Amino acid sequence: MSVGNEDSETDESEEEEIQTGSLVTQSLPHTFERDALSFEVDEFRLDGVELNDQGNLNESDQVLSLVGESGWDLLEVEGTVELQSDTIQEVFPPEEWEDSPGRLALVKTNRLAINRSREILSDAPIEAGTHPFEIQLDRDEYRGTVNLEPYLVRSDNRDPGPTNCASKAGSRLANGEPWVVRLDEPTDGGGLLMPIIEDFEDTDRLPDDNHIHHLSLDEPRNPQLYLNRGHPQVVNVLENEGATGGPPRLRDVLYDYIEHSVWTQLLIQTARDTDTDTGETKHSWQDDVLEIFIDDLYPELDEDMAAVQLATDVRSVEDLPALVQKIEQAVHQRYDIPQDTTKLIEEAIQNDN
Amino acid sequence: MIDEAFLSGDRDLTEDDLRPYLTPLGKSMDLTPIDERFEEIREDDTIGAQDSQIDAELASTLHKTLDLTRNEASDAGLWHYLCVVRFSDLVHYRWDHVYDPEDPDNMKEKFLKAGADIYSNALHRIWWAAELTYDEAESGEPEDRDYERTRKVLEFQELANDIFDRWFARYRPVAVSCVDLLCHEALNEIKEEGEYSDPPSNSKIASDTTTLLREELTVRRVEAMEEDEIVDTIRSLREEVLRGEAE
Repeated sequence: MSVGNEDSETDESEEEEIQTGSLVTQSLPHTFERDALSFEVDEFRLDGVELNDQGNLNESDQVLSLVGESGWDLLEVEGTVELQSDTIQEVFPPEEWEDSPGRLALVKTNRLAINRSREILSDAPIEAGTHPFEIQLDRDEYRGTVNLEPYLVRSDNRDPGPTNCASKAGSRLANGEPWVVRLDEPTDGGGLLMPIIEDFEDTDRLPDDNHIHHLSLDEPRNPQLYLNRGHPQVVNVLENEGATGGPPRLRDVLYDYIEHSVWTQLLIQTARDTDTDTGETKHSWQDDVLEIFIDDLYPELDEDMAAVQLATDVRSVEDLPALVQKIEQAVHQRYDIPQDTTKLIEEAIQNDN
Repeated sequence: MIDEAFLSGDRDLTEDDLRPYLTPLGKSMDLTPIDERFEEIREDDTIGAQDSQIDAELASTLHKTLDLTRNEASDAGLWHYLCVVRFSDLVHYRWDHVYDPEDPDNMKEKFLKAGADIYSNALHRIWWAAELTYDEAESGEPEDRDYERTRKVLEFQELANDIFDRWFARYRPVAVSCVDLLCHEALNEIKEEGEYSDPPSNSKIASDTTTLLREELTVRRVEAMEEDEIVDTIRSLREEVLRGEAE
C-alpha cells in the first residue's frame, strides 16, 4: 500500500487512514511502500549447525529468541528478499522503470551494543525478483535485541519531477517486515517488573484494596510493581510456576491484564520524560521501553526522530488520542490475550467435564 | 549509595562497599595505563581541571586499554564500576563543575548512565567516541591504531555533543564523515579560502549542519547509503549553512 501520494487515486483504506489522523501518512514526503518486500528466512545456524532444540523460533511473528542459549559464537541467517515489479513501478517514476536506480539492503540494528550495519543484496540497476542473502551475527558484537529489516532505497539523485517519487540517494522507498533476534533479556536495572508483594491496606503509598496491582513511579529511576497480598488467592495464582493446568492458564491471563496496564503507564511516562529536541530519555529503563515499542509506534521513522515524535505527540492535545490508540495497539502486541484466554476456557471446560 | 556525599566528592565507594552488587566481567585487564595517563594530564599545565581537553587526551589510552567487544562495552554495570569505584577521582576531576546539590542528576549521570546513551557517562562517552571514530591499523594491533579523528572531535565539545547525542552517530560512516567535515581543522581551512563573506562560527556550523542532517536522515536509510553519498549529503548541508541559506 502506498502512502503520502496525493496525486494518484487513493483507495478507501488510505483515505480512512488520513481521516483518523494516522501519523504514518504524514511521515515521509515521498511514496513509500510499507512491508512491500517479502523477507523470508530459510535457515538459522549456530556455529555452522542448524538450530534444532536451541532457541525459540516463532516463524509467524518472525522472532527468534536465543535468550539463555550460551556457548555459541556465530549466528548465520540465510534467506531471501523478494522485490516485486509492482513495487518498482510505485516508487520509481516511469522513466526509471527500466534500469531502476535502486539498492536493496538488509539492515541490522542493535541499540544496546550501538551496532548498525548492512548487507547490500543488490545494487543498481535493481531488478524485480528474489534476492538471496546470508548474513552473520558475531555474538561478541551484539547485546539485547537485533532487528533485521530489508530496505529498498534510491541509489542516486534525480531532479524532482511531477510524480511524488523520491529524488535523493538513500531515500527509503520500501521495506519489509523485520525479523527480530533476541539474544539477551532486556537490561532493566535488575528486575523492572519483579513485583513486591504487600498488603495494600497497610500503607498509604499504595491504592485501596480494590486493586490487585500497582505500578509505583515514586522513584522515577526504578519503577516498581506491587501485588496486593490482601487478595491471597490472586497472589497464589500469580506466583504459580507451572506450565499446564488451570492455575498457570489463569496466571497467564492475569499477567496479560497487569502487563497491559503496566506497559501503558511505562510508555506514557517514557514519552513524558523524553526530550522533544534530542529524543533522549531521563532514565535508562526508558531506553529499554523505547527499544521494545518504538518501531511499532512509528515504523516510518528513524529511531532518533521516532523518540522525538513520541515526546512531541504526548504533549499535543490534538495528537494525543491517536497516540493513545497506537500505544494500546503496540502494547497489545506484547502478549496473546485470545490464545491465553482460550486456553483458560478450555481448561475450565475440561474440568467441568 | 550514589548520594550527595559521594557526588560532592566527600565520600568514596570501594569494591567492598559494593561487593553484593558486583558480578565478574569474565576478563582481566591491566588498567594502570589509564591511571598513568591521567597523572600526565593532571600534571600538564596546559590542561586545567574540568577542561574538555581531558577527554581528547585520555581517549586513545582509555580505548586501547579497555579492549572490549561491543557486547562487553554495552554492559552498563562495567561503566558504573569504572566510574564509581575505579576511576571516581578522574570523573570528579573532569566533571565536578556540573555538581549542583539542588539538582544532582547531571552529576549522577556522569557516574551511572550508560547503555544506549553515549552522551552522559564520563568514561563510556569517551570510549564510544573513540570506538566510532578511530582507524584500525593494518597490523590489527591496538597500539598501532590511529586516534587522530577521535582527538579532533573530543577537542571540539560542541561537535562531540552534536554528533554523539544523536542516533545517526551510532552508524560509524556518519560519525566519521561528520568529524572529517565539521572539525575545527576542516572548517578553518574552508574559511581561509575566503569563499564565504561572513561565515558563521564553527560551533554554529557544526550545530546547524548536524541538525539538518538529522532531519535529512529521517527520509533516508543511511545504512543503505554508500560512503561517498553520506559525505556528499553532509557537505551539501554544510554548504547551506556556510552560505547562510539554512534556517
